[in-house]
Amino acid sequence: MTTMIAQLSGIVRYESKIQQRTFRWMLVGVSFMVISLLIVIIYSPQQAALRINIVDTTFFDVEFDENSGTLITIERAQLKVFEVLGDRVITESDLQRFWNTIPVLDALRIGLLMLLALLTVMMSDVIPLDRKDKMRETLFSTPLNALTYLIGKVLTVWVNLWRICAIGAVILALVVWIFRGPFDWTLYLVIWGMVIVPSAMLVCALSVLLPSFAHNRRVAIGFSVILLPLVILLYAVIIFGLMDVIVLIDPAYRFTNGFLTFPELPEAVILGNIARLYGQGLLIGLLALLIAWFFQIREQRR
Amino acid sequence: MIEIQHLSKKYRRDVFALCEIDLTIGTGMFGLLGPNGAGKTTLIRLIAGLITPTHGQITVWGHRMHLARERQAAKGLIGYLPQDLGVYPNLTAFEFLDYMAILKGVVDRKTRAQQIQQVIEAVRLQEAADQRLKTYSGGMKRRIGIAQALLNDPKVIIVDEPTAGLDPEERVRFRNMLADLSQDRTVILSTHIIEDVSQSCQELAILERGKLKFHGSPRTLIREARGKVWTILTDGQRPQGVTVVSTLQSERGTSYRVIGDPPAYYDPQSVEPLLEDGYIWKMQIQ
Ligand SMILES: Nc1ncnc2c1ncn2[C@@H]1O[C@H](COP(=O)(O)OP(=O)(O)O)[C@@H](O)[C@H]1O
Ligand SMILES: [Mg+2]
Repeated sequence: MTTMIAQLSGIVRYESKIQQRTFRWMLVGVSFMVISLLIVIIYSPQQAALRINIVDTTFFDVEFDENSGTLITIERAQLKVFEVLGDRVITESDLQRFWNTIPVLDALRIGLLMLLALLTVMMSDVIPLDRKDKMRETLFSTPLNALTYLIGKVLTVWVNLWRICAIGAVILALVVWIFRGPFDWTLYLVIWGMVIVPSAMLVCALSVLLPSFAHNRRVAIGFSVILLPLVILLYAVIIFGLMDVIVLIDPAYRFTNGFLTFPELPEAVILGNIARLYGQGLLIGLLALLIAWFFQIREQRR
Repeated sequence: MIEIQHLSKKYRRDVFALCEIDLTIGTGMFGLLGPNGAGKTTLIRLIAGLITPTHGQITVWGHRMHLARERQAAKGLIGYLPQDLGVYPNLTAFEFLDYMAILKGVVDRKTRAQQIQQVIEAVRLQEAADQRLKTYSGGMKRRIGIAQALLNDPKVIIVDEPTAGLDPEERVRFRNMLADLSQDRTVILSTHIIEDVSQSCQELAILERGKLKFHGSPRTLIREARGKVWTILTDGQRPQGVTVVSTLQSERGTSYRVIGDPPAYYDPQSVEPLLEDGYIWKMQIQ
């Protein structure tokens, strides 16, 4: 057990170096940043307005929806949000914050698609690279077992992912703050922590493990392209499931229709859905590990 | 101490890369000779626990290689230099060795640094230790390969065709290094170059097409060829019916070193066989 932990930490340390020195993470990070920054910068408030479900244009005429308990009015491009549920009254600065957060949500939403697609392709050759470098014989002549090896590879990719996400989150936040002003910090962090990082972790694990059978990098990358539609499907599930988490942060975001699923769902149900999605993700990840392990063992049992 | 019993390995259906091998390998240098495709690499991979046999079993210092847990333990005792050696091109030599030492279970950082220092000195790569491995020449990569195999003071060192691609000087140094290492441990050296094993091996085995053709000391192999090695002097005509090992031009004519039973009219002179003659004699008889 101690050997395994030592081996894992060694793999993470040096695999990280190897991955960074091939610049793949820089490419992933830069692409993600370019897309998200562009969205934040070129986003116009009118576009944002279009993305809001308008309940009515005048406050007093509104028949507010009892399930959602939220009212939004727009008067001459002036957005006003009223939360009727509870005793909170939305102030002007709340409004500004809400207004600024919409482009951030969109940037993250589209950036996430970009990130997942890039990771699928860019991480697919992490294991076949060892074959290209003819390192497998040397690696497996040490007391390293196939499972530790696989877990080590996935862990390395995760550690690098966390690093990229941390840097990306800070830069993006700064840009939004400079170009748009204050926005919803809690929501921003929750989306990174609960939506982007976990889903990217799952995609990284799949991208490392599933093409691990490939005997050269080209086959691995080809296989990862076949995986892309699956990843896009996964993305859709994430957007329509995990993004509900923003409603738990502030119900006002129910009306940003990019993520609108069932705005009338009670909190417990939303929480339940999210928990279920995490569980399913974990299962898919473990299944991928099992498949990859099987291939590793078979290769050694030739 | 390595014991091999009834070992067979079949890669694809009906083709045995190794067939019913029985061997015991003790301390000292053990030479594994044979032409290309004889099954040397296969045997070595089996001993190193990289592949599993079709039949038979191997024990390395009492660890049975067919049991996963014991195999892991045995791998901890083995240093292995693969025939088709690879390195991570983007790591420096020091980083690469540190990585391998960690995988071999050298947990303590100080011990690791000390060992790396030692093996880098043993292969004389001190100056290049902080260069990326992609800048290394073929010979330097081999030396890093052997350095890697020496980490964690293995009881068994297995090197597969280690001198391929080395220049003559490096080759000599490498042989001497292996000879030194074999003082107190098992060194298994696979090669198709007879000079690699001639001086230093206590014991050698010859493989051909997956079968063990010979197992014993170099002296025995030489003795078996005694009376079969001759020199023949002709005026340039190549002698027929024998195997010519070497040719020497002189003013008196062309002198051939041959193995076999040359006809009397060639006037063959019997000479003392060398290891190479023994090997060729062995490979000839079916
Ligand atoms: N991975 C493999 N798959 C199928 N056949 C193999 C494999 N490796 C080796 N062989 C075959 O096994 C035989 C022995 O090969 P090998 O052990 O590499 O010989 P040597 O190292 O003595 O040159 C050869 O006929 C070779 O073609
Ligand atoms: Mg070979």
